[in-house]
Amino acid sequence: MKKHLIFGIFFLSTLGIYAQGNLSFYQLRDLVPQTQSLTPANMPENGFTFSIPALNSSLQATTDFPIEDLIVQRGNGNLAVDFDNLLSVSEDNNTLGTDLTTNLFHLQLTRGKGSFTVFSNLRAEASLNYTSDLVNLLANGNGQSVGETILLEERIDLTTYNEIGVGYSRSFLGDKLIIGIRAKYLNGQFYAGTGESGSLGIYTDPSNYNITLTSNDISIQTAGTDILLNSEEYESSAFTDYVTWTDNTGFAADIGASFKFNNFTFEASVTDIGSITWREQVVNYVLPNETTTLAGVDLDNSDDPTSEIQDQIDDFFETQETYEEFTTTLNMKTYVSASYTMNDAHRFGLTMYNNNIYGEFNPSYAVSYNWFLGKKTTIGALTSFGGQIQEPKFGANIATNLGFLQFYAATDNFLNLTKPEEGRGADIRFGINIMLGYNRI
Amino acid sequence: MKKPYFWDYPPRKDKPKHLEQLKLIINQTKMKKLKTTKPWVLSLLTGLGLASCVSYFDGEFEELSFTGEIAIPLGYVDYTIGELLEEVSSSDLVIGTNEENVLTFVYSESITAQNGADLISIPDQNFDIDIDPEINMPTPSPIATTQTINKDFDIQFSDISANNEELTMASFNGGKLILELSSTLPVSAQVDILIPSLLSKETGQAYSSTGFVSPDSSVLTFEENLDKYEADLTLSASDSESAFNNIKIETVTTANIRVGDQIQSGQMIVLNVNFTEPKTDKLIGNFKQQEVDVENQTLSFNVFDSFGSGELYFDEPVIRMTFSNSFGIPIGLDLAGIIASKTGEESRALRGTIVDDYQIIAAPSVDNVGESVETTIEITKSNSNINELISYKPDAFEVNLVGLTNPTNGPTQENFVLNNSTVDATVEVEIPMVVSFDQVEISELIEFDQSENLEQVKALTLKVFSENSIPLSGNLRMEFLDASGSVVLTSDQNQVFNAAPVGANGKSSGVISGESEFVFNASDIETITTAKELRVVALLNTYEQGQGTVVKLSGDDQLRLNVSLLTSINANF
Repeated sequence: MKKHLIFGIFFLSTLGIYAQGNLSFYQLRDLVPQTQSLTPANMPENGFTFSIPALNSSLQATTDFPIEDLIVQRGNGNLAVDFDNLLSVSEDNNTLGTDLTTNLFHLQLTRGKGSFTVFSNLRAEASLNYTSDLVNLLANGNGQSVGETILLEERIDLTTYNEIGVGYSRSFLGDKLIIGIRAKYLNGQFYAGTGESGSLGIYTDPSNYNITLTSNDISIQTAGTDILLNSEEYESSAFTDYVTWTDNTGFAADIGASFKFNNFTFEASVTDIGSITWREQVVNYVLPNETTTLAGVDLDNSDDPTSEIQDQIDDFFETQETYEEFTTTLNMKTYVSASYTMNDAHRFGLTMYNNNIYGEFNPSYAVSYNWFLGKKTTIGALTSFGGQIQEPKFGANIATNLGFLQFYAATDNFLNLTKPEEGRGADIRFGINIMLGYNRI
Repeated sequence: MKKPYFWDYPPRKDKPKHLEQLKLIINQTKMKKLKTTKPWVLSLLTGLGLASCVSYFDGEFEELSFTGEIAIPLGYVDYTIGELLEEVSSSDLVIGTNEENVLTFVYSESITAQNGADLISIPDQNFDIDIDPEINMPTPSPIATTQTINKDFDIQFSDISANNEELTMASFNGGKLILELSSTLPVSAQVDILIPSLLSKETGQAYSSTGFVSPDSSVLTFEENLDKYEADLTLSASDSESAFNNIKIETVTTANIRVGDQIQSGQMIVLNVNFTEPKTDKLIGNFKQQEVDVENQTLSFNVFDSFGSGELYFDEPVIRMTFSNSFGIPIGLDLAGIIASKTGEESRALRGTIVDDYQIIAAPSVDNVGESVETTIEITKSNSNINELISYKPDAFEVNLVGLTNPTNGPTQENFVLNNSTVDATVEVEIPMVVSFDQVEISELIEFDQSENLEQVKALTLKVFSENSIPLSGNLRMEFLDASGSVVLTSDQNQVFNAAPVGANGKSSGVISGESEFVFNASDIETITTAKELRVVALLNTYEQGQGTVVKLSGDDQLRLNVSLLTSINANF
């Protein structure tokens, strides 16, 4: 049953992650230390930063469709999930994504031309690539696809892990060149991911409605799902012990560089270069390649046809389980930007971001402007396009200090905050830091 | 005053001037509180967002609903024509195939068994024989002397039946022979009695006994169990060869005459011969003609119970009557008493040459006593109107047979009967499926309560895909009945399966596919949820319906119905 649940999630889930780029948060890289997670070549202007635990978080959820296309408002104000509506806006292939980062702590010390960082983050990423066939199946059943093959090639990746790392950035050539690197020790908690080319074909024969199921390379690798779904079967402290520390370990690195030339600054970074090897709580489910035709049951000799049909389906989805460790790579992110600083108050920028999910190059672009009010405050606006959401988005960001406390917030799609139902997901990053040492220079 | 553009502002490092310019901006843009509010801009923006979120998402979430169509194969049913008809028949049919592999219904039942003991028997027989010693002496006798006289007598069994049977042999297995000897003579005498007709089964010796009678003696009685003997009923005192039913008795009387005995005319010895409760286990003779009682039989023939209206024609039905006769008597059978009956309709009698004369049940000869001879009488369309009777779809056959021993059109032979002789009969109605159906209606009533399963179904299309190698087509309709048995909904009548083509031999020559669907809308389904029973009614037609084409339904012919559902569901989860 558990296996079927997981496969059910695989085929039926509409929740997942396909992270956008934190493009707006990226524009706060001069002031907010946590932007080192996007571009390690970061040289804060203050000497010492300590983040307030759990008050630095980001949440991104991106869909290919406005939320109101899936969650519709009825005439009486009630909300309902409406797959018919979703189908009308679905492409052949669609994506959903969520990226949740909670900064557990961030300690940064800047002296002279170098800046040293120790940090820890709780990361959760999920991505779902789903087909319009799936939405069609959910919306209409198979009745309108008789004679056609419904090909489900859904892919899902769900990962949560802790990262603990150190970083160092240093300026060269009279502060024209900054190079930064971060090394991260990863400790994985939960993972569920499909193979790269799995597909399930569902063909309904128009002559008799027999349903032919064809599975091809379907597999799901999981870790931690058993203790998550069946925690009651473990000792009371087992779950806490597991999420605190596991044997699922890995390493990752972030690297970046920036170069100033007159009023122009060119920056590039690649983050989350690494992998996690999952060893603990591993269960791999493999569905053999096979074709089965559901032709109903012998009605003359069946006491319970419904149960027998269900048994036939269960038999088809009977998986083989293995427990071998496996390694997953992180979704590597790439930022490339060029900015023009008109003066201390005004900066214009052009940024490109790609998250390399499933090896795809599907970049987002942003044109940004930031207005600096002193060296502790900035307000910015940007418009971005590309990536999973082709239509233009308008974002905003702000960072400011109240005494030694720094507050910051950024969103890639400001309109989502005012009318989230019309937006394609949600995106916000905010935090509070203790910032000291602005007079070090 | 001209409003400054942002590029008019000083560089960031010029802090005092920057602050002055900032004040200028604040004043010019009337944003007097920007200085104090800037840390809370985030809160403002976030608040705006959250407020708008609430406005859309504060409605209650309805249950997840699904409104779509599910096409699913429910299953399949394979029918041979035998199973198909068995489904609708409550009869104790045996369904098989004949030598042509044509499906054949066989209905058989045993009918009366005539017991030999009931056919013929010998009642009590009682005879008085006067034995005159014929003493030729003066009276009173002057001398003492002895005189011997031999005399033979015949006694003849009578009242064996009202049919003048001429028995030539009887073997007893019960009863008594009682001889009583009395005398009116004034002299004593010895009487030797010999019954040559009564032979010991063990020794073959004739029965004999001796008695002494005297003037003062009482009646002498001799008793003998008859089961030790068999009787040759052809012997007679005159040694006639044509004797029957006869018992020959020989007597030797020796009278002892004393001096002075006075013997009057008319004084004699009397022998009373009594067969009391004689039982026989074998009788031989000429039993003549007599009617044999056959108990009336009703053969319930409910194979057609589920067949309603329509023309049904069976081309080669046979009623096969098989008799096993261990009587040594040929029996003629009058079949005119076979009548097909149907409730509410006029009965139809068997007609044709088969009822013009007695049908002969052969018998074993006296050389084969104890054996049985089988005789089969077939009632076919060549000697009767049997196909008309079967096609009439009767409820029952009334079998009122009349038998006659030694019919004139039968063989002439010496008859015998044993006490365990029987005539066992089996009536077999064989109906090969060489038929034509023209709108023949069959129906089946099944329990049906799908109220729970149909709760979320808003429309339903029942699709039936058929592959049929039976040269029989079927138009189906469904009638849904409520708890009171009233029809609350009747579906369309659709041709669910087509008749397979027929070759020159009258048999199926291929498979034909068909597809049909029954559509039920929301209103129909609401009605169906009240149903408790479903009656499936089918109109069956053979290939080339209406043209009288007779087809042969083979045991290999098969109908597969694949039943699938296309359901429009509106379900909440």
